[in-house]
Amino acid sequence: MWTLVQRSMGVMGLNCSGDLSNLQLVNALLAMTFKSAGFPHPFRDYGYTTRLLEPAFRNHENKTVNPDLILASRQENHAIIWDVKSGGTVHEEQIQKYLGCSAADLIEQLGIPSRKPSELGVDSAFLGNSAHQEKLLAVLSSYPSVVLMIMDFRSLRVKQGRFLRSGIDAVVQAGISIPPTIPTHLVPLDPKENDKGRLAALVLPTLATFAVRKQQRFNINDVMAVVAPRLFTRRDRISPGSAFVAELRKKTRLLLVEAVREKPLRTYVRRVLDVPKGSPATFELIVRLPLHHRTKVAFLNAISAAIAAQKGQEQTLYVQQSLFPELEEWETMEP
Amino acid sequence: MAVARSREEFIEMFSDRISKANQQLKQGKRLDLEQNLPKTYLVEAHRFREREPNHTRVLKLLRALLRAPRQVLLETKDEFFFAVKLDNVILYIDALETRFWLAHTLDRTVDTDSAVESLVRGNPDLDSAWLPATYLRGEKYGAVNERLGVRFDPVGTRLSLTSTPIPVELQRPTSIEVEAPDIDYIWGVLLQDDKIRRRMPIVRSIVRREFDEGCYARIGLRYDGKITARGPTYPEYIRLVTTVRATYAHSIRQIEECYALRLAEVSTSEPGDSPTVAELRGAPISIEFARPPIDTDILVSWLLYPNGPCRLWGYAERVAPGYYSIEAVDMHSGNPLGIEVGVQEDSAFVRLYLTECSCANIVARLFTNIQQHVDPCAKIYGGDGAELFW
Repeated sequence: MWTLVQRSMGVMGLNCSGDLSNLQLVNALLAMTFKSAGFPHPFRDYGYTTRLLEPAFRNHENKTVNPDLILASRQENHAIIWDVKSGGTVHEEQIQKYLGCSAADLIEQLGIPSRKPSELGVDSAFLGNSAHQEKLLAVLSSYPSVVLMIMDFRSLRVKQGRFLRSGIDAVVQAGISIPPTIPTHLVPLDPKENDKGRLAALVLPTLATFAVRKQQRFNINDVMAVVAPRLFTRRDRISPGSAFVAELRKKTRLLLVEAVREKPLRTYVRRVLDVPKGSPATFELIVRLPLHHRTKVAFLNAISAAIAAQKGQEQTLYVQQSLFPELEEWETMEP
Repeated sequence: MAVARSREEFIEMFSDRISKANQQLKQGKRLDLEQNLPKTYLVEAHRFREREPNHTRVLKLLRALLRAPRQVLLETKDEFFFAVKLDNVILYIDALETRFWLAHTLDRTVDTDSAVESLVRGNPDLDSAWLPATYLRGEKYGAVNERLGVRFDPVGTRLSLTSTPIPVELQRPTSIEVEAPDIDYIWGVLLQDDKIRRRMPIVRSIVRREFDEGCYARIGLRYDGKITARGPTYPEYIRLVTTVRATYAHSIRQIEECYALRLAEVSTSEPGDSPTVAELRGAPISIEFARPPIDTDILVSWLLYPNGPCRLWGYAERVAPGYYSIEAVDMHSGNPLGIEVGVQEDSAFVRLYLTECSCANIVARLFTNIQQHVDPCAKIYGGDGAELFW
């Protein structure tokens, strides 16, 4: 008999009924350029494989342009400059900067691939939340060549404008149905949002990483070395930018310092204070490595609980008793 | 028990054992207790994924691994070749291909399986090679199939993934070995039955490859990377074994190269003007299940049980009914991994997001165990649409 044990009640992480966040909109847009199970991929079908994230460049009017994303297809000889808006504010200056971008700007400065540069089509598009479509439309309607697409948890549809290429245009004009399974890991963190829960979900599992690697003592640099590849390049100097890197490092340190001070993590990890002045924040696993099975389970539960606490959620653990009878011991186990 | 102190001595011992066992089997006799089939375990040493390895580094790693009492490391006269004594088992580790090792042994399966398991399981730097169903078939290596070993579960797989109660007496799967000259035809007929197709994962196989001038090799392959020598001679055996290794290694490296997500710096025309451009490279990997219905709550608990076959743990967040976003840790290597589990139109899926530091062996481990325990017909493909392990 399969029994589902939920030791504490359900987690509803991202809100599926209200507005989509910037992170969800960006992830959805990017996901549509990959063949991915359980999600539509219209842009991938038309060969959009170049995905530039937050590029900063100057257009031929010498104005700095910083869109959220540029998608480009060699097959269609087409590039789309995207601005993602979870809210309803859009500045005319921003629109004019996008409209001031020529094919040559994109090819020469950003290396956008083009099989025939003189014929590269460049579109500017906004992706917004359906809740704010009226506000966005009020501004964008003065710029009819700009495409406005609106997304919610059901569909993606065009509110204004047409793409220069008929293939992708026909697909989006017909509307794309969006399932609730919007990918979450292509861009795992929004640098502009102060999402402590999301950061905790990325950072605190590294404690398990060090336990597996039998690394008793680690510092904030070690933690960043595990987390960083998911967020920025090795050289740490391009988008989302070094300021973001420094900020993220600071937030990560604060998060860890706080988390290991509280129960239940403090049973397993402590901050090492007797380090030379100026050294990076250092932590130590206070359990014997390699972890014994019982300790491991309790330690992993403690990490889950700490993440759940940061997210303001209750912890959920799904344990199939008949499959893993030994896990029934979890209920009463103390580290 | 004599221990070979060089590759040459080892090859002599291995060859002798293969030919004796082969003669015995040809005469239709059972092997004596001391006449085990020689075998090789494919082992992945991911510490050497990026670093330039050398003999000393491999030696250092092995020394670090073998700290328990009754574990002895013996250096041989040859570079990248080591003899390891684990209780009553001697493994000859050939690390000439420094990431994908061959661990040869002449000892009994009952001892060697557990010895290799304990060596690999207990160390974050090593993993088994996980062979998906297509990699258990001869076609992959220019060979023909002679025998297929399948596990038949009369009520679905061991992991039902539904909340329907299953009588205990039906929960025990049966192993079936099918051997015939026209095995592919028989297998094809069997697969036409939907119930069989969905409930019979290939667990092991025996394949035969003909080489030049009448030479051939017969090997047994098991999904966890175990290869058994079934004759007739060592040179052909090792030729086929290295083909299997090269095929597997190529797939793993290709996944890392093509699908690990990373932000790559795009060179721009005006370096002085400090334009900052990052391009998202790589792609997600999707596993699609063929058999509905699957309860994703149970699937998530199975995936994330840290001592389970997938060896993952993670924080699962329910984003929508039946849809989970998971920040996972590979409990083998410690690498982080993004996972999503969901259902669309009755078809469950798992999406994987590797990063630059990820070891793609986790993809093989996850997919192979899903084929073995959940759905033999599951398919895996990359974000570019290319089917993987195909």
